[in-house]
Amino acid sequence: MGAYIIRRILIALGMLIGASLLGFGVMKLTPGTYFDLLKMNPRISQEHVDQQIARYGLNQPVYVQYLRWLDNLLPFGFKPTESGSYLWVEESPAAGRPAQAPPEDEEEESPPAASEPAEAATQPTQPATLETQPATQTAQATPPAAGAATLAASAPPAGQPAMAKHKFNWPRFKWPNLGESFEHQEPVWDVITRPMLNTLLLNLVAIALTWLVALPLGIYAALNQHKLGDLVLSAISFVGMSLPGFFMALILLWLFAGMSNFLPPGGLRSATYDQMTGWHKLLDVAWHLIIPAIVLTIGGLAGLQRITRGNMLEVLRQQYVTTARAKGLPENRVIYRHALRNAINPLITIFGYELAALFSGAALLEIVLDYPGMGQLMFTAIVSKDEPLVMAGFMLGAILLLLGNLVADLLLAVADPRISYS
Amino acid sequence: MIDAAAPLLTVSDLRTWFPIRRGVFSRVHAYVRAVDGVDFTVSRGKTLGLVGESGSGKTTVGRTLLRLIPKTTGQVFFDGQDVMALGSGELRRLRRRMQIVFQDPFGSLNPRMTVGSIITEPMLVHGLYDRRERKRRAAELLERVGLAPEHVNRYPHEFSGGQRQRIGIARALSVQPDFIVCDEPVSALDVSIQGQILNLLSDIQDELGLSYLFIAHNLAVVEQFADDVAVMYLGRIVETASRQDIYAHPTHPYTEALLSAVPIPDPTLERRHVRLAGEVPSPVNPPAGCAFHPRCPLTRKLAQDADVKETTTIFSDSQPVRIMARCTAERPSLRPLADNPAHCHACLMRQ
Amino acid sequence: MTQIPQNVVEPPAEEPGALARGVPGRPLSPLSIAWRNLRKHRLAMVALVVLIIMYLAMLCDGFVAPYPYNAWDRQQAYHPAWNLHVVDAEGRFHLRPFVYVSHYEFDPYRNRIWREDTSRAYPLKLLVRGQTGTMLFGLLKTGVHLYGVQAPARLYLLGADWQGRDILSRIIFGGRVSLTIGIVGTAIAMIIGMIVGGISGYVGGAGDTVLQRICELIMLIPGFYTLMILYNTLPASLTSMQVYFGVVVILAFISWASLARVIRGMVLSVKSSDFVMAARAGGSSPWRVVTRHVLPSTFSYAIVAASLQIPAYILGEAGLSVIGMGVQEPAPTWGNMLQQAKSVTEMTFHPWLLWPGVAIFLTVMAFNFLGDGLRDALDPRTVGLKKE
Repeated sequence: MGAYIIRRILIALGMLIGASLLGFGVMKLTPGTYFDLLKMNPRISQEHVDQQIARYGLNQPVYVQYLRWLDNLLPFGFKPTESGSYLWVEESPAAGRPAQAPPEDEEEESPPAASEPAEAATQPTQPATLETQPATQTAQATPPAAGAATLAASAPPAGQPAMAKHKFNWPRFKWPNLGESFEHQEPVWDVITRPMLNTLLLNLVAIALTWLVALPLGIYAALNQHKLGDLVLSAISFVGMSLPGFFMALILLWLFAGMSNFLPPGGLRSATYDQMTGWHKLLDVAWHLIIPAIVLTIGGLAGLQRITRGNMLEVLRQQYVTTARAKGLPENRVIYRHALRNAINPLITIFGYELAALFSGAALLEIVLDYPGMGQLMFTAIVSKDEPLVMAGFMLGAILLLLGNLVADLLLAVADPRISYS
Repeated sequence: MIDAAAPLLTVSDLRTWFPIRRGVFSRVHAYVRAVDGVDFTVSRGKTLGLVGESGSGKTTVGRTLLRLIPKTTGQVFFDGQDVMALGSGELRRLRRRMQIVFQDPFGSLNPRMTVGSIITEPMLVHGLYDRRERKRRAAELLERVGLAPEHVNRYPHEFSGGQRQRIGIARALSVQPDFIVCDEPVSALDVSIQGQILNLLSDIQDELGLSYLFIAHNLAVVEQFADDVAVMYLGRIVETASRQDIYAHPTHPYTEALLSAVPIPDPTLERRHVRLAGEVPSPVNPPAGCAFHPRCPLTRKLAQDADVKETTTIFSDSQPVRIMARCTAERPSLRPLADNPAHCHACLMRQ
Repeated sequence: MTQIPQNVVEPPAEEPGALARGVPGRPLSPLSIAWRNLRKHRLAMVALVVLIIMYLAMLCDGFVAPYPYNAWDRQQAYHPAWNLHVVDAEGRFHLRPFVYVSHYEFDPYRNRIWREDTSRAYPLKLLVRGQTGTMLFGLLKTGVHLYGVQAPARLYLLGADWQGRDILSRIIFGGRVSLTIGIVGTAIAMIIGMIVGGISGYVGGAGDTVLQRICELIMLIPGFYTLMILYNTLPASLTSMQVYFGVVVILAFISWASLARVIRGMVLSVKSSDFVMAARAGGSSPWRVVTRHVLPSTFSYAIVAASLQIPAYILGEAGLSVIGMGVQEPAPTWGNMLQQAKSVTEMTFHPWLLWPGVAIFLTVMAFNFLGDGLRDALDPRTVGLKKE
């Protein structure tokens, strides 16, 4: 089991790299960048836009952009530097230290990387390969010869402080960073926390409602098989399975927000939310959650109710249930003590799949209902080509799908002792 | 053609191991030694019965020598041709001469094809005859195996088990082979039907001069049918002899045990029933030395009288059992009996 | 068993399930059994009939719809469904239904108030000559329509949109996109799935590992995000036909992998079955084994999977169109028609704009029922493909 999980996680890491390559590649297929729109705006200066483009590295080859993104995301990698170059640190004289003693500097800087001196010694032989990147990366007029100048280790004359000194930027541990959103001009993480929590809220409410309603209905249908209640429920299930969520949302909006004023027309908060007090705020959010939560619940209900019914019928046919009845146990005890647990156990694997769809499952509904969640955020980010934001949402969705599948498989092993992974 | 007295099929030191993959990098962790060094010959126009319990690897032998499963090591010569060395074109030509009849009469017929197309397919792929002639032959073959010619347009699910097995036989016969592997052709059938199918096979053999490798898990079926018998245990052959010799004078304790399980139709005769301890061990990790030693009644009996130094203790069904030390140390090879070179066995205690 | 009976050609008629010589009736192929099973499935048959009607209407769209999809009339903007009268203003009964022309004026809230002009009745006519429309995907032109009324009256059975176009006509024409996208998309995904799953399962080895990883990768990416990102890669200059194929390919791209995996699993299990061994032993080439024995065994699964996947394509296209990503106006699709109904004001005052959603719902439900029926009808145990 341990080896199985390790194997799954290793594969998962590879898969994530693959997914990020795919996502990044597809996004780069899109013609143009976010800044094309800004360029057309006469009120924004051309230099400012160019600066932004250089700052986000959009003027570099796609693979460099990808590597920068990946490096940013990993907990171990190159620390971004002032100059925008990744491989070379510019030791500006402003650091207050005389730049005359390179050996000392190296010793101070290098405790984590023991192989550094050796590497440093080989540097002069490979400037050609290393130089290509800093040359294109340094947007702020770093002379292309700067790398070579440092490598030659000839300290610049004291009278020329403009000639900055460059040093290889060794990979080290750092905080993973999702980058900065082009549109919001702030770290992606800050942009997505709110929508993420909103999406989480909606989905958790919907999942809880789904289970609370589906299990009793499924059991009821199984115990009244082929009777009126069962038939009505299966008809509703079929309708629920076939009614597109966005259409159901539109119908509910029409009925309860348009024709009458029971429910708000989308969103998560009223305009007056900020003036409300504690309890009212909570009620306001709950009031806004009703339509999206009901749509998601009905969507999930149909399937779960059918599965519960099927499992329950299956269990009731088993011989141990017949045995329990033959022993003379009261029917309630037979059903709730013997049958129910065995009927519900296999359902726990569904939790894994629900986890998988937690972020991306309700995207369309969020967009249609103007719900400020991940789906909505991703929609605007994709349309405006806010790449760092799109990649973050895409990867979060992928991670949750991976995790959800893993959890589902593990839960399956827990629920069914016949399955073991080795 | 080669010397008519030479055997049609010679199998030497055939091994088929299936890898088991495990762990983080799914490395090959162990092998299932389904066939672990098997030698035998099948003579022209004769039948070799290959007998063993389920899991002994007998089915794998049949499929490996037809190259339906890749071998691990070993050689197979069919009429002088090295079967394992053939290229794909030569192999396809050879397949016309070597056919197989399967155990499961349902699974071996493609449920989506009519009986006619099942029977004509081998002729078609070998480019034999034209369309009409193939159809005529299919009807003729159906008659020959005891079905009606008008059944060509029916589907397999419309037939009973015995009838399906007849269809399987007709398919095998359609390309006029010299040799057929009969892989437990009757063990999935009702006892009342088994006799009919066996008779059909034996009639066809007389008529066409076929050779059979007849695989069975039960010595009673083979007794009807085989000219020679080979007994397999855990991927190895433990005894091989002519039918008369093996039934009259079994020399390997495993053969004795198998024979004792065959009911005798004559109530006046009495046979001692040999009960084997334990179960067939896993072919992943076969016992060292003689693979049969944990279950062997002979070595236990001999150990009772033997010197303590010559014996050792093993655990069988978690019970300590004293057996001969040699049986755990040395792998026995198949050797002929002194008085009958055609009768070989692989028991250290009796060699 | 020691006695061998000499008469070998004795037919074993006493055996259960035996087919006796000269049994009357036609041979029962698995397909004919499946069809017999399906006919017993009432809901599936109803669904099948509904779908056949829908597809016929889509194929003959220019004839069935009274107006071309782009025929607009500003005077009729947001006209609610026209009333078909049988009793006129004087209280007389007419056997042939008729309509009145109506005109609107604004109420104090700028809402349109429609008043019928009862001075002249326009009777409903069948097979009338009207504006020329196209049918059979634009291959044929027709000036004759199934029903209609004489101009200047119009017969908008489901009402009009903001440009005064007939919603019902647009729904019928919208079927060209919405009803075909599922079939074309599933066909593409199925072909890729069969090829990849077939190779992966039958050949195995390193190729299998690579293909499986690719499939997992495709299944790993969040579907709707990917749909949106991929749609955004389509250049803005495409014609609606090109956008249609772009969307089909995008939808197929995110759904072929799960088909390939299931087909691979089936190929793996069929590959080791005795009848495939028998075909190999008979000398069939690998190509023949795969195309004649292995892949046909996955067909019944493929049919069921296809009928259950088609709704996903219809919903995927509609979902994209609803948020403005998809085939664009004026070409109608059920999704882009619904996009107009998205705002609460719009749907409150003109709820008939929601009708395309009903078309989506009916189609999806019909496919679900049909798929359910097909799954039961093609159950390998009942059609003789597996032991009962």
